[in-house]
Amino acid sequence: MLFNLNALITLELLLPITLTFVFIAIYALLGVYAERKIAAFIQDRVGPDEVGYKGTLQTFADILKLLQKEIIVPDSADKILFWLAPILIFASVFAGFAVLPFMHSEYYVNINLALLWVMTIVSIDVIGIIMAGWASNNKYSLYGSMRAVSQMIAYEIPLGFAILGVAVIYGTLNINQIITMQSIEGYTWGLWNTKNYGGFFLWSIFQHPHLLLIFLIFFTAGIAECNRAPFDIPEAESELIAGFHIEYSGFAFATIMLAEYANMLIISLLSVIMFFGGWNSPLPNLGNFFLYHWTNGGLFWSSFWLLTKSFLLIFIMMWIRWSWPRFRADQLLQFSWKVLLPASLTLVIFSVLWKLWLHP
Amino acid sequence: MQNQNPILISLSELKIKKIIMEFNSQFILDTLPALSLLGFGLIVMLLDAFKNEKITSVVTILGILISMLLAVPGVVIPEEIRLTFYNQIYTGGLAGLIHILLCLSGLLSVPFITDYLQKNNQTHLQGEIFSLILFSSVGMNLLATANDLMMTFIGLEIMSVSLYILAGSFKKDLRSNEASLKYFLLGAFASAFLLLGISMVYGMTGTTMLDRITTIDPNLIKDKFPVLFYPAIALIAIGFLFKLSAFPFHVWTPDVYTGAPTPLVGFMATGSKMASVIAFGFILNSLLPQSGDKLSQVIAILALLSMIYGNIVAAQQQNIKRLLAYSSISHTGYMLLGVAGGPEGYKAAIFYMLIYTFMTIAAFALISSIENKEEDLNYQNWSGLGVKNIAFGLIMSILMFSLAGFPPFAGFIGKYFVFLSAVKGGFVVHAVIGILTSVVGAYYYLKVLVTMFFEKPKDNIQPKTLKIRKNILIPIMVLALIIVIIGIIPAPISSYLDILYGKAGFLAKL
Amino acid sequence: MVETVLFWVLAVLSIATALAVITNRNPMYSVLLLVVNFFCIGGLYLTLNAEFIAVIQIIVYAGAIMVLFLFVVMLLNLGSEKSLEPAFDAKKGLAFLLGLAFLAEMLVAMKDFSAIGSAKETFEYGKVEKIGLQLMTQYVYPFEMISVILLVALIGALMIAKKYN
Repeated sequence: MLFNLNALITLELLLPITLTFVFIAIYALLGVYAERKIAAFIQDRVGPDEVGYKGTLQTFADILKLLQKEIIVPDSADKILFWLAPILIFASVFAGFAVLPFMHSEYYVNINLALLWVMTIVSIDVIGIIMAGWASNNKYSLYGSMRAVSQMIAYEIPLGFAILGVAVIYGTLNINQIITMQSIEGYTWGLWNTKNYGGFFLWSIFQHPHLLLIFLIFFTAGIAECNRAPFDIPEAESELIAGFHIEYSGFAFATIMLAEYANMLIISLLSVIMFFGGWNSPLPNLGNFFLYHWTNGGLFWSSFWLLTKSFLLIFIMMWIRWSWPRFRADQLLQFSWKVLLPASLTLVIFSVLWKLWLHP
Repeated sequence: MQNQNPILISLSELKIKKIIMEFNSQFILDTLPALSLLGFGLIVMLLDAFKNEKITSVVTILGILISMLLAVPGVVIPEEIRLTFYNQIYTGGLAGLIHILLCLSGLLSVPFITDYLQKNNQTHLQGEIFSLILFSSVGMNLLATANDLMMTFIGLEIMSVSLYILAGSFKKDLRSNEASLKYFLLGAFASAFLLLGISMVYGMTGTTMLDRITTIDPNLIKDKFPVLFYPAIALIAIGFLFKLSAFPFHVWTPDVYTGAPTPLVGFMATGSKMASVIAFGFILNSLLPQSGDKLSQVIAILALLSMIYGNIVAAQQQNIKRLLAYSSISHTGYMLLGVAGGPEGYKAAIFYMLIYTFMTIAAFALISSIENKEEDLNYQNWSGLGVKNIAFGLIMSILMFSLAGFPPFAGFIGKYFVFLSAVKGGFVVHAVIGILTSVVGAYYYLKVLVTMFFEKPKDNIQPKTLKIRKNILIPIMVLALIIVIIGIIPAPISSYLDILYGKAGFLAKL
Repeated sequence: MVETVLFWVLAVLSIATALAVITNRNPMYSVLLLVVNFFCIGGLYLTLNAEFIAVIQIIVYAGAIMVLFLFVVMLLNLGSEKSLEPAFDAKKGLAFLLGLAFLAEMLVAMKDFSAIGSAKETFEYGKVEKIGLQLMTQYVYPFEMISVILLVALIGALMIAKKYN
């Protein structure tokens, strides 16, 4: 059973939901600050510097301002859909966290279809984006949401195939099992037994070489799913002002931004879970220094490693955003349909072959 | 467990270990005819992709011939029909013959389609059209030889979707577009009915396998579901009757047959009908013991209505394609009468279908040879055409006489067997009315000939092209010859059908 | 208990949204309501323990097909539908009566329809592993043949969209 229905109405589930929400909110606040600072560093600027020490409180001030602001609903907007859209966008992304663990613990839904579920529920936010773009009754937002749809449909397929490649290798869609298998198998690239070393040797990308390529596809498609540069055509500032969320202000805007950052976290969490050993420690055993065994297991270490790895990936996303120019709309679609899709399909087939015959 | 429905095959029985049967390479050999068609469809697609459109027609003919040849061994050494591929599909014997018959309609229409495309400067469509013909032949094969109702549905959809596209393949032609859209919308609707019926049958019996459904005790079902069984079968029947264009579900037929490219209509009208008749008769025979004889009575009445309606309306048509469309409704009626007449009639219906295939493909090919503009299709403009162009007149007369059911042409033999089986099956009144309606049929078929031979030619409205192009003259003549030969000596084919039919095992028992 | 409540909520909601889809005059609202409807049906699958089908229902219909529908509706920029014919005529009345008769027949037929085992028995048949095993053994032939439908539809889409010189 996917959910324990009786548990839905108990506190047992309400607590993790609240905790997750608080965590995502704090993460997004820090994430925005980090993004600004990183952008500033890359562009050789100072960045936020006034509020708090080195500007650390800048985003808190921003969110306070956003909370106070009036949410202006355009006169010609479709009122119902206009209000529903940000809620749907955030809810769909947030529902994805139901099956994503932050640590090795009981406080998340451990189901067999976890990977598929994340794919499914996160893909719903396209509908929210369409609703936002259409309901605003603004030509820029409509363009933005149309671009978003064509982009997300295009990139969801390689994303799904990438997940399929991993699922083929591990024979499961269960996140817990995938992570566990990355702590026990021991043939790095199918060549030498590194069971005793542990650490990053056990990560799936080192166990199965083609998963490195699959990771690249997944990560690229994931960035596109988040509508981030260089795939941020839907909200290209120079062309569409802000894309589908032009008309949103105040807290509605904050919700959409929150969803975007939460989406980034989902993509990087999934990457870590599928390719970088999840909550397992990356440190290998060296001689008598059993670093792997010392730094593995337990609530602290598992959440520490999982989140550290995820934040590193988020940092890379930000790095990419501020270093690469934006794709053109047609290049973007061509890249997905003509490069990523065939490549991911080939890799899935290779995964099957690898699983059947090539892997020792 | 105590709560479980007794007629459901217990779920716990289907332990995984039992389901995993050793994958048998025999499965591939058994389904090779269909798989080779599929393979050639892909080859034709690739040829088109790499700009080798010109040879696609040859490759298509080759592919269909090879696929037919692969089915030949099972037919020549008359083996028993048997299940294969985890009981999903029938093979050998009668199933092989059915495959060959179904391939015929594709094979025979290819030369005419090639010619028609050249005539209309649409040769760039060759790759798509021929691959679709091959794929829809695969669908027909699956539909006609399926044992699982899901397989039936998949086959039906492959076939239908290909036909929807083929009907609209001339993009610039508005009538072709209309035909495609009408066919698609109504066809999708009919498929939904079929699917609903299948799901009901599954709900009642717990299986979609026809061979398992036949083994379930009829009384058990009647006790358990006194009402539900009839709507279920009625819904399945609606799905098939639509594809067959039987009377109340015929509305799409005239428009689609008029609008679609002419030689393609020949393909659409024959192959899909044959496959649907075979599947329909087969499913009906499997479900009959469950429903009693009421079902065949309903089918017989619908057959009667189709005959009456088709023939009477066809008599008022001016457009020859429309005329043939309405007459095809009446031909559906004859076939359905056979299907209603039990196993013997089912055999007669298959035989009728074979003859109908030859006649219809030849007729549409012949029409396409003189078709240049809309008015050419009006047979009132054909006055004196038979005298001016002897070949055209001669072949047209053979086809019209045969379609009308005059001896010694093949059409007569087909009708004879159908009516004979209907009389044997107890549908005497239906058979008599059927014969009367075919007299109406003779009226309008002969009216075409009268216009062609006995009316004075009116030059200004006559079709410009009078010559049949060389590359289709020979195929048409061959078809006409076949019609005459079958009409004179039907024995070899019909007796062979008898042998295979006897070997079809449980089918003959019904 | 929870499952019963959930079933009724989802069942009523799915019928209500389905009705709203066809009665609503705004195409955009219709499509969105259809999405809600698909979610409700997905939920119903969940109460039947068919978790895989539930997820597939949402990913395929709500996540992919309906997005394409929305896209098309946006591209066509349809206004609210205006009725071209009178709201009621004899044909519609007859169709309504026939539909009602069919509904009544189905209700009579379904009256003593015994449930196909309890949810516990179907428990393991909703699992991905079981479905995959069935598809790859018993139903491998139809499963592979479904791809031909997709291929054919693809050819059709190409034929319509392609510009021939």
